[in-house]
Amino acid sequence: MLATFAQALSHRGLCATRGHGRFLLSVLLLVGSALSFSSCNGLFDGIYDHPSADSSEHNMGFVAYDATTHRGRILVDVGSYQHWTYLDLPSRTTAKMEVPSKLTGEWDEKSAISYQHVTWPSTYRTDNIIKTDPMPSPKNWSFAFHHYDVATNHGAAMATQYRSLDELPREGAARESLLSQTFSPDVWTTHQSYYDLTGIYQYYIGYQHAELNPVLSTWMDMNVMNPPPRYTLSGLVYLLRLQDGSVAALHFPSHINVAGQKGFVTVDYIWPF
Amino acid sequence: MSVASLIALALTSASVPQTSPTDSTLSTAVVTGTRTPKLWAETPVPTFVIGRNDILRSDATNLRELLTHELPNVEFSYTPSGHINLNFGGFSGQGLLFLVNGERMAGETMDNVDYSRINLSDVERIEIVRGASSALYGSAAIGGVVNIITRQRLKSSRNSEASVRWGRHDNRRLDLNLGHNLGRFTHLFNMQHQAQSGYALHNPDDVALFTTYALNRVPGHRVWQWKDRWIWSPTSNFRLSARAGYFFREQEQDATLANRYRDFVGGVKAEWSVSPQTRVELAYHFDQYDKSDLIQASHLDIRDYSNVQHTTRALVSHDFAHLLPSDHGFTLTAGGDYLRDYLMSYQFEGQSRVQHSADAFVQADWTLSPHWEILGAVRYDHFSQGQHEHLTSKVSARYRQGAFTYRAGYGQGFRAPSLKELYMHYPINGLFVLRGNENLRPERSDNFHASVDWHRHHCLLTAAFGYNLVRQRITTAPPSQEREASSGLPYIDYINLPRLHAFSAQLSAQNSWTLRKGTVGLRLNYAFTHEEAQQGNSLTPYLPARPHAITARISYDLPWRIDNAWGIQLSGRWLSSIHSEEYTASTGAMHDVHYPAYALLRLATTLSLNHAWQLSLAADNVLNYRPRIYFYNAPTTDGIDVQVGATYRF
Repeated sequence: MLATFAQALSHRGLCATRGHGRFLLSVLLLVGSALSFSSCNGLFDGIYDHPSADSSEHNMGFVAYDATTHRGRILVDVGSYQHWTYLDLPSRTTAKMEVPSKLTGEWDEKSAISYQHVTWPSTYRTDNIIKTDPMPSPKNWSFAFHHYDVATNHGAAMATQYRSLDELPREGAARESLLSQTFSPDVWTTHQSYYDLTGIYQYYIGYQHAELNPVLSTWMDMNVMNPPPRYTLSGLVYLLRLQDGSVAALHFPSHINVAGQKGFVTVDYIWPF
Repeated sequence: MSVASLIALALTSASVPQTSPTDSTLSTAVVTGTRTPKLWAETPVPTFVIGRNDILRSDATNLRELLTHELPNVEFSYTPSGHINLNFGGFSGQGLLFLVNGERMAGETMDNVDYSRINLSDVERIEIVRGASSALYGSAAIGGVVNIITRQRLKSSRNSEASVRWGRHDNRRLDLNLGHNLGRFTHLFNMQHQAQSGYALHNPDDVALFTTYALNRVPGHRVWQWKDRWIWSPTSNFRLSARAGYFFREQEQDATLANRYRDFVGGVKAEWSVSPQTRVELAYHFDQYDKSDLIQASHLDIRDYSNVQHTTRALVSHDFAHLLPSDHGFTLTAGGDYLRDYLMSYQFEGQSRVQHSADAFVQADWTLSPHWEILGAVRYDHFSQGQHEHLTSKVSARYRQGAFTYRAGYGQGFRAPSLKELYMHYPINGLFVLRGNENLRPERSDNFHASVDWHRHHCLLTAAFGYNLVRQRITTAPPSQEREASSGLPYIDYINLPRLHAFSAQLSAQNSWTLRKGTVGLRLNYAFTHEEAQQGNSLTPYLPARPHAITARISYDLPWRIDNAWGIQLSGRWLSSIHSEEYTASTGAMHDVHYPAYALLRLATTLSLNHAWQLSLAADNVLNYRPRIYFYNAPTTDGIDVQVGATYRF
């Protein structure tokens, strides 16, 4: 367009100002061409971080374990409200299972999905209850995630005042003092485990009726009162007493992967503690 | 008045001395309505001008504060995701075209451009043309055009200033403006830092009984930006300018994430008066707007959005007045633009899209007599994505008789579907999937307007009326029954909605008179807005237009000895209540909601010493109004806001 315009101008015989015109068009063409060709899709890509694919969602599960210190790291994709992810500390294996959405056999009198009109902070008006099969689980598991909620396999948990595994006393009276404190078992919930948040902007929420550990689940406060949700991490170290009596120390430093996507939980743990 | 002298006036109107506000308005050269400079009093296109003096009087920190201070029917609020939302006379931000010196701005924040990019300390004036203007500006000029004109020229060899301002919630602003005339060169540099801490908005426990859309927090943010411009004027009829700028904003999201926004802007522009009758303008404009997330735990700054626009423009205007009788005139303006629009977004499943658009337009401005002037324009736009093509037109007329000036016109507007609306595929927090629609048709509008001004001495009265018919508005539908196979989430699709009607009226009055060596100024604006749409199809679903709104300002300025001055100003705005409806997805039904009326008053005083220092003290919301419920369209004030500021000119 500029070139055409330059040609048109030169044919008009604008003698007195032709010098300016040529100069002007030259500058514009030079700068415009240089900028547009060198930066078609933008500048300064280097000021941003580019996380490596090694840490993406393709590398989930038990990603590290040191047999000497008994410390390890787990990465869990908890993005789906329709799935549970089960973690087995002894075998360092994971299993993902879908939440039943219907009843195919005999009802156990409690498994269900309920839709509720919610008036914050604590008023729930049930609109619809869908009876379902019980939640399936693998043969062996230690604890499990459903989104940011946590359940244990007949275990119990307590929150310490420590904010990293490094601070946690591994021996002596301090350790014994920790283990002597009260551990809380899982409890049955009917309006805590989100199943369907598609009506969140109208505070019409579907909950899965499920057993959750009320202490472990406090690692994350997902506040949906003013959508979109706001996330607050406790930062605390938790102790989990497994069904076999062994104890694990758990720390949840992040719910975001290195690419900045939410719904990817990092768990640092010590087992056996 | 010749084109050249009008251009000179347009470039220096900031330097209009202490004339009355009315005279200042009448003598302002405006460009937005016609793309060529015309005196405000003579242009056939009604243009609302917020001048430099208005900006200084408002002491506004950002464009949001300024527009709500000056215009009655403007409301800003926050979306659920913390972005700024706008209602402008019944139109949302998407129905308005924001320009800086006639250039589009890259990027979007759900509603429109990032308003915080506008550094008011560098703004000469803001011109607002209501109604559809696509025949001159193309896509998005459905409800109006807001053109921000920055400083272009200095009135003296050196004109620099530094200012600082503090307010509630640690609201702070630092400005540095440097300006030098170096022979044929002019150098302008400005830098701004602005920040505010986040604060909670306390709603009652029973808030859910009144609304499902309530604000609980205003997010904290900080902004850094600078802009550098060099202007070369080797002769009186030639001007070449080059500019570069950087903008950075960080806004808190939660303890784990902060949202970052960056913009890189640059360009060159040449304006050449080939002859007293012919003016040529050539421009290249680059604008890159990026969004990234700062992950607090890892300190990684990861970009997930980038909009890069390259624009080239040619504009020629020729005045045929010398061929016509002395009181006649005919100006032909023609031009064209090419825009390459690149968009990489987290909403495109990691892909990027490119759109090429080009346009050509021609405008004829015919002065038939000292009383009559008629203006007509037609424009053709082409968009590569979807192969959309549009032909739009407008016609305006002005008639002057004695103290009266009458204006009337018709204009067409359109908004081409954005790349996001065409191709988005974005799962939101495991709630639903926003899905673009490649079959979207462009929004269209027809606008009729009429106005009358009456001017005598320092008094100016204006009445303006507008009617808009909006068709095929693009918006999102409620969640559909169709679900994404991989995630099981329902789709929310972009769709076109049926027509709606928007009617508006504005009445304004301004006057000034002398009182004991000082000057009293008075300005009053009233706006009426009415929208008529099918249930749930409002232009601004969560921010409905209030039917009645008023802004008012009374000021007293007293010169003191030679170099000093003292001024005090009381200004305020009142917005009427409105009954509206909220959509409930669970039942698919609408329920009534009542947004109460409210009024905000501001008292400010300034003291100027030796033409160098200016000290200011202001109290915003002096009535200490606090909304019982922070609806989306409630003011986000939580009480009186006392602000202090100081400016040093050197």
